[in-house]
Amino acid sequence: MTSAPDLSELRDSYRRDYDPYSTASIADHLAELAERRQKCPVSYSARGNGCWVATTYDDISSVLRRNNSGFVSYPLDPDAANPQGKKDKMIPIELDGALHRQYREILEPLFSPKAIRPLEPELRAAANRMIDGFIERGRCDFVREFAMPFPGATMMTIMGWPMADLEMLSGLASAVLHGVVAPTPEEAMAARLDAQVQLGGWLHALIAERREAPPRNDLTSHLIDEAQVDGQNLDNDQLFDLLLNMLLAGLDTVQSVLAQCMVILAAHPEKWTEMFADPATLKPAIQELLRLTGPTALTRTVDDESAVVGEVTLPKGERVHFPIGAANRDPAYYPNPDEPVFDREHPKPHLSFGLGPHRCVGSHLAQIELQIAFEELHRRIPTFALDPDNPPHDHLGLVWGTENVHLVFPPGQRETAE
Amino acid sequence: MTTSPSPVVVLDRSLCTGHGLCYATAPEAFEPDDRGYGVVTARAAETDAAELDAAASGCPEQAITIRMENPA
Repeated sequence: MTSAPDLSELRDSYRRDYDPYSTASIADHLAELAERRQKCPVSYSARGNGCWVATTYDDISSVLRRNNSGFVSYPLDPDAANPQGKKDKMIPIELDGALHRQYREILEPLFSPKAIRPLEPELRAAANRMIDGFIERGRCDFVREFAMPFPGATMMTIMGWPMADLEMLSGLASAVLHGVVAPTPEEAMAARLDAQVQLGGWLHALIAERREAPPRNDLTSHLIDEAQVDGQNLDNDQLFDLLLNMLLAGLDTVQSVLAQCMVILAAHPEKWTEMFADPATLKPAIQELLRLTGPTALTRTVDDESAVVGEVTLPKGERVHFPIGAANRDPAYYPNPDEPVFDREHPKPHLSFGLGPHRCVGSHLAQIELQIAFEELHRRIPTFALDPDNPPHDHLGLVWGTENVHLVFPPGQRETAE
Repeated sequence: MTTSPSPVVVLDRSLCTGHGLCYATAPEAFEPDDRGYGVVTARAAETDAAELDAAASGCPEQAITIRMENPA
């Protein structure tokens, strides 16, 4: 019998530092992850407050499946810091067990396929209004003019929030989630904190106002008037948390996927045609694009006495961090993992919406948004390229993204009056 | 009368988290409940075997199993 090795020895023997906030491009970062997957699939990174890093599909899916049975989802941050500056667990993403289930039971019917389907005509009209804004120009700033406002407007409609606030909220959400470019780290941190304060102030004011106003047929009224946890209506803190996390999740993720997809499709123009070759082609193509662009990086913490990840036995309290992109590009399940291949045979399901109890509650909405966006963009912009003089740039972090996606295409006609 | 084995489709509700891929892949065999979780339909046994296999292998939670059984 051998005694359990000392934790610091274990960490040292698997040490290979990892920076989730590296300034590398997504492609370069994925190349680093591919190398780690091959050489040290599970490793310990001492960067920041330290965490383990998992890189294979099997290890990542297995950790996610063990949520509630060996792992907990608090804290979400690999450094165990809280980007929203809160001391409590974030609702619902850092909750587990029975309390988490109660929040899921509130949210799931609101985002089920049945609840989402009636939104389709309005989403399609919104997509076309946004395309009308740039179609005659023959060029667009895709993130600012489509990838951000399209899911953003959807979210504002579902929530029942004033559309005029969308751009401001999106800017604040982006600053909170990925920070702000500033001359010094101190200024960047100050700007991020300032965005948190502003966003918090806006949301607290909205909750106060909506509590006083007559109920409306939107998600905010439903959460205020009807939703219950432990037999009680939600208090301001619970509402604040729930709404804030839905706002951040709803704005940032679909935007990232859409922007990354257009960059991939610009590099593979034949795929933009192939997606629509046949009505049966589009859905698998969207799944393949989701595999390539799943933007989130998650963290789970060992909650049993120990838990095995790959070949390593981790003691209680150790955090395991993993970008979903690492699982989605595992060559064990996806030959030529970096290539968009729309007719992969029985592909492993991608993990872009996560897995287990915390699976993305907005996944049905996200997939309808993507389908409508691609259908309308393809109908009106059958060919496009990236502006060679103004290339995109990526950011990593806990939600990866691509900005500055400038598209050029043969101009088209507006379909609605200005 | 035929005695060939027919598929028995089992969806483990304790594993399902509502990805919704089963009813997108094999809409005859699965349908969504009010929360978006999959439910096996009465027509599941008559569904094309390849479609059932695709739904089972495509379930991210590995919640779907299909076994062939001879009719009693």
